[in-house]
Amino acid sequence: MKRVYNNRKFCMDCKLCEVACKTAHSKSGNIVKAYKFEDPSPIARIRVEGNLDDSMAIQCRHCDDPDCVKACITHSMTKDPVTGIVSVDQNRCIGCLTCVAACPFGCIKPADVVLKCDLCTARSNGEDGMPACVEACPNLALVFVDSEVE
Amino acid sequence: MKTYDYLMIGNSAAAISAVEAIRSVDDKGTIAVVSNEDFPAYSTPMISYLLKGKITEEKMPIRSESFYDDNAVECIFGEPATAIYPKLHTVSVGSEQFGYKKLLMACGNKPADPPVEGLDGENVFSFINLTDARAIMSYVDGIRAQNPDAPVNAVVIGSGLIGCKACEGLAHICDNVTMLARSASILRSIIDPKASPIAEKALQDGGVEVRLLTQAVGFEKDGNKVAKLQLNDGSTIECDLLILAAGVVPNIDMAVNAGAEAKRGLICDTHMKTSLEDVYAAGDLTVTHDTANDSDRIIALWPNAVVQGKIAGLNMAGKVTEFNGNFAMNSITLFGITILTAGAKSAGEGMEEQCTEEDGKFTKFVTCDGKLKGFTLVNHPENAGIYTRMIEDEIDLADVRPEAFERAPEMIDLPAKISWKSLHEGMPSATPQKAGR
Repeated sequence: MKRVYNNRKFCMDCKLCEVACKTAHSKSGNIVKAYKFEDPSPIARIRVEGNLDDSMAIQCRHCDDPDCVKACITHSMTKDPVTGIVSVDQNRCIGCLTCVAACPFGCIKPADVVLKCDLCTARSNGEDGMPACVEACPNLALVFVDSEVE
Repeated sequence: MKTYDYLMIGNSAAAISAVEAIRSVDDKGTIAVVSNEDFPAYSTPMISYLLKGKITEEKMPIRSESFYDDNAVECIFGEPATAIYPKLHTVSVGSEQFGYKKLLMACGNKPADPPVEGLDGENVFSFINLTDARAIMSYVDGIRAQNPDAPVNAVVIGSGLIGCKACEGLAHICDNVTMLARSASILRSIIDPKASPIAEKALQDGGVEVRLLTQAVGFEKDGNKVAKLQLNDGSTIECDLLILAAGVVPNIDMAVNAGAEAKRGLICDTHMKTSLEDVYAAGDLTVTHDTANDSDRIIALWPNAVVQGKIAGLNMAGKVTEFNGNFAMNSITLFGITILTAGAKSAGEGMEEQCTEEDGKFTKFVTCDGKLKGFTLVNHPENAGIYTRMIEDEIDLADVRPEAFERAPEMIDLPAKISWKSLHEGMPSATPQKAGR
């Protein structure tokens, strides 16, 4: 499967990936509406850690053998055997947060129904199906490439 | 008599995980699943959500409707297994006998004996499975139908996870809910007593009366109902409905009677095999080596059942796989508060612990020799899994940025070598290493 990889050396802490992620996961798809008007406010599933000196963007790794899937008590969290994408069924999740306790990357957002990176599968306008965060990164600190691990 | 290559006693997290593991390496062997309940596998922890009306029963199954057919699994549902004959390799289920080549004990636990001998009646329930939840709901509906204006009083004996979740569910369908806690704090097996007031307040704000240091010492019956409980302080409490949630015990009688070695739970080797030939075990009824505080105990939690079920299944199907212990990891949401825990709850010998409390948030870290052994996070769940990773990988805390323990932990707090490796797993070496578009 294709995965997003970061490069800490190139990351500038600009947080454009967070902006793009939040917008991509908004109702309107519009940056101004996403930030100023939508209620509930959309939530970015990528997180830029660190500061100007040293930073990196983190999102779901879509693990080969995901701890969140093993931890999920409702079978809402699953890894698609074909695409490899780990996703949460928004209609089943009860927000028990066991996956949050399990994810070794801290990449599941606690909420009444948890949120996580979906590799922008619901968004069709990306160039070559590229996730919004990668598209937005101005310095190739995020790349979307074929991974050597399922 | 029918004989199966793989026979599962139990139909929840561990058994389903084992079935999937077996099918990943053996698509021919015959499999049967025995369950005392007549439902496809469902999420047991969801029963409190069912009571409080947050979900309907349709949401409870943990696999698709066609799971058993797809995996060629025969369902022997509706009656409990009662005996194992290890020499004959057979199991009694109701009046029938079934043969097995490999057997998995995955039937979890059962309610402990009532705190007062003989405490039973038509209004007395346990709260560990869907059958219980259904019975409670229909009983409450029944008394409401009989007397629509009378308030319904529920009493819950027990203040552990099951007791607390029962209260949360009952608060939605009963008028008064009282929890009787034997000890001076609640959720004692999961959180530090210092964090208990936060949980108690959440229950109280949710309409539950929490009575600490209170236990039933006797009872009065009205016909076939328990009408009143006599309490240790000399008072009495009336109950229309009584939930016994004072602990569970592993469902191991039949295995023990068959000669299986047990120490509270079934003792297994690193392949999840019990001391009986061809009999494996997984989930809430096993003794697990707790890697966080180097002790052997029962870890009756869903994720542990899934992992053990998988390992048992693989070994049953001939694919040798080791289980090297596990540690507890749990998340509880209760009346709007969140409690995330993993590893050691408190410092054992040679360990240290540190608690902080601020603005309704509680934090506890347990460490030993510069390594994290356990955490409790009340009302700040963010990124908790990074702490879980520190326990799992025994990361040297001297290499971790101290900020990791002052706010939500981040990947950048971990040593660069560790974070780089895990964040770049599978990255092809040809990936552009040049900045700029």
